[in-house]
Amino acid sequence: MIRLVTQLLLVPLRLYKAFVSPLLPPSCRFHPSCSVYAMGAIAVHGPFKGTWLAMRRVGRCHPFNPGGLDPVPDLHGRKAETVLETLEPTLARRLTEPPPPHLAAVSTPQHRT
Amino acid sequence: MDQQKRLLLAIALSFGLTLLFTNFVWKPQAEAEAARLAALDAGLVLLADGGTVPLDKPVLAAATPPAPTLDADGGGLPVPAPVAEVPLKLVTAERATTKMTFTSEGAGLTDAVLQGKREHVLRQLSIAEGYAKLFGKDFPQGPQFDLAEPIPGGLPQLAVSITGATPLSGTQRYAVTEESPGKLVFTATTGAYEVVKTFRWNVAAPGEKSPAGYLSTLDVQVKNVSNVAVGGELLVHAVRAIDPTQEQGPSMFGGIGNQASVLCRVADDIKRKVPPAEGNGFLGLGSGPVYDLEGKGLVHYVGIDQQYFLTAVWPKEGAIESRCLLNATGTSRTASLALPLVLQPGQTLARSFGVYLGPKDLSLLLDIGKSPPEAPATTVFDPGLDKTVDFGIWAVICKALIVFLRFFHGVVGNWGIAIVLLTVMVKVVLLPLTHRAMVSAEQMKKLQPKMEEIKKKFPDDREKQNLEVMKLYQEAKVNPLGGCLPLLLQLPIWGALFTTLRTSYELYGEPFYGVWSDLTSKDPTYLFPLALGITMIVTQRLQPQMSMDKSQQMLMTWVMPVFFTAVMMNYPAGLALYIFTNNLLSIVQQYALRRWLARGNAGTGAVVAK
Repeated sequence: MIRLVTQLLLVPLRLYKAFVSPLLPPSCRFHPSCSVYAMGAIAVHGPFKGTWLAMRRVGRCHPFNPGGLDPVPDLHGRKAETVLETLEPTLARRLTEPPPPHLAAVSTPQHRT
Repeated sequence: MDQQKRLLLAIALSFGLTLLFTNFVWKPQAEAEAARLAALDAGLVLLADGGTVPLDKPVLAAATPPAPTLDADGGGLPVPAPVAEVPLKLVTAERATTKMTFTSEGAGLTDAVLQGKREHVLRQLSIAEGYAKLFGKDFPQGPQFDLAEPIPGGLPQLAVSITGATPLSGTQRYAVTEESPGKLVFTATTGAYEVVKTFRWNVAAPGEKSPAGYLSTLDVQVKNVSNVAVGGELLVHAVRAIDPTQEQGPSMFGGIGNQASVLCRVADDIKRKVPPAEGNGFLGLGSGPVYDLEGKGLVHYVGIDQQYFLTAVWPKEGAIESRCLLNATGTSRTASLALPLVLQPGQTLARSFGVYLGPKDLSLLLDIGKSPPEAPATTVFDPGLDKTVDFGIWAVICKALIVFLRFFHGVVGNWGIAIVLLTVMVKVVLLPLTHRAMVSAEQMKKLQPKMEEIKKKFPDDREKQNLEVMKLYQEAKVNPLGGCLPLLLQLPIWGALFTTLRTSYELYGEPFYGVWSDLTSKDPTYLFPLALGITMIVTQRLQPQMSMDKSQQMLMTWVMPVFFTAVMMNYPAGLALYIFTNNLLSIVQQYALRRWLARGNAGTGAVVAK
């Protein structure tokens, strides 16, 4: 039952990530981004705590917070990506991706080549 | 990675193209379809004219081919009425708000033309007309709104019929037995029934401040004059013909549409139906059967709901255990209230119905259930018509927006400027957030030398580079991006403003300036959407160049503004006005910030640059 609710909550997030997010200018101050964080948090910590964590993360994502690296909290001492490794391998990979270029790299002439 | 970006770009581009196609190329075909529909109806249109011929000329029923019968329950059955005994009579009556025409055929309305200066059918100007108007040419408004547009050969508005073994036709010929200001009585005698329909209304009540100007009462009295008991249902019909060329279904790129829906409140549930899409539905599906919906239970009212106007009929004594029948086709809407009817010989049933034919002005609709000021002690049944103004999930924010808009309108007297002021207000509220984000983005430039260092330190390891840069940001407390929260905070305002613009009668037909004579309809000149696109491009260019790769840069700077402009073309001009003003303010803000930083922080900037 809980698993079903979790999957149901993940559906809109997945749709957003696939179809809406690419059309919007990058805006998240964190890595992983709020949407990936939300998916990870819900998948790892379940619908209740996960949603709460996701809401708090979005609440933090404003210009008065420096932002930066902010991984999904561990579950009983295990890293989020380890928890998801077998169940949600794609999601686990997303959580461990390096910061996207627009967040970290800087456009300089030598870089563009 | 690069390939993926290119794919995205391709998707966005094709999106844009589809849009342009639907907006500019597809239109003629849609018009052809409308013309075809109109041609189909041509025979009926002729008959529609018959409804306005001089009095006493025998028309309609006899000459009418089997009408597209709405009344599937037998109410429309051609009952052999006492032929040619009662001549057809049309009675016109005027009240402060409405010009009404009653017909003796069915004893109902064939016209209820609202007279208020905003109560017009929306007239959509073409591009050419829009520009002509921009340069001073005047175009007349659409015709005054008629809430009883007759269905050729069909039932008149507020027709009454009886179903069962001994039916009474909804187009039964009545005689006018009393005609006085504010009152009209029709009577008819058939084999089984003696029917008296009495219409009563307040002649002088104005429409601006109270609903009384749009309210009337319909008393129905049915007597069983046969010598056997009869049983069945008594139906009261709210009816309106629809001109399919004037009506548009909603679609993502074609705007919000203005379809009339039939509705019925059963207990606390409002049932609502629009006609099925005709061939042009989603992915060409649709063109299903005509919608028929039945509701059973405690019926509060039935009605027909245009975007800004409402027909509603309700039992005056209070909600009643009964049925409602909703029917919507491409050319008509019928909502019927069906009450159980059992009459012993000689027995009479008397029922009173409240009728509202007027604008969906929330303040008026809220007053319908209140006791009249001249008799404050009487209790009046409140059918709850205010719920027909449907703000959906944004209701709370919409109402708050209307409060602010009304306040600004009270100050400046123009709804367009009120929207501009609302934009300024939202911008000011979010100013701390946006200012901080902009400063942060500007400061990014100063970190440039340190980033160069990082790159030299890890020349081959891009992941390491990225991580180090992130750490640098964190230490310097800067971040190139504004964050998700400010964006999410603005979303509800957009959604609510959008909903308000398409549902609130307050804004309907309210001019802004010159050619923009209605903020709830699309901008005929497309100048606002274009200006919006341009300001979007400028905003993008002004932003400190971030390290997006070229294709994404292109997507953001060029494709998105084009996309947005295309979408906004067919949406309410007020929304484009809001976004345009918002972008303009952002540009001013960015520019001012640059000047300020250049003046105040020039010294420190130079030091870091060394």
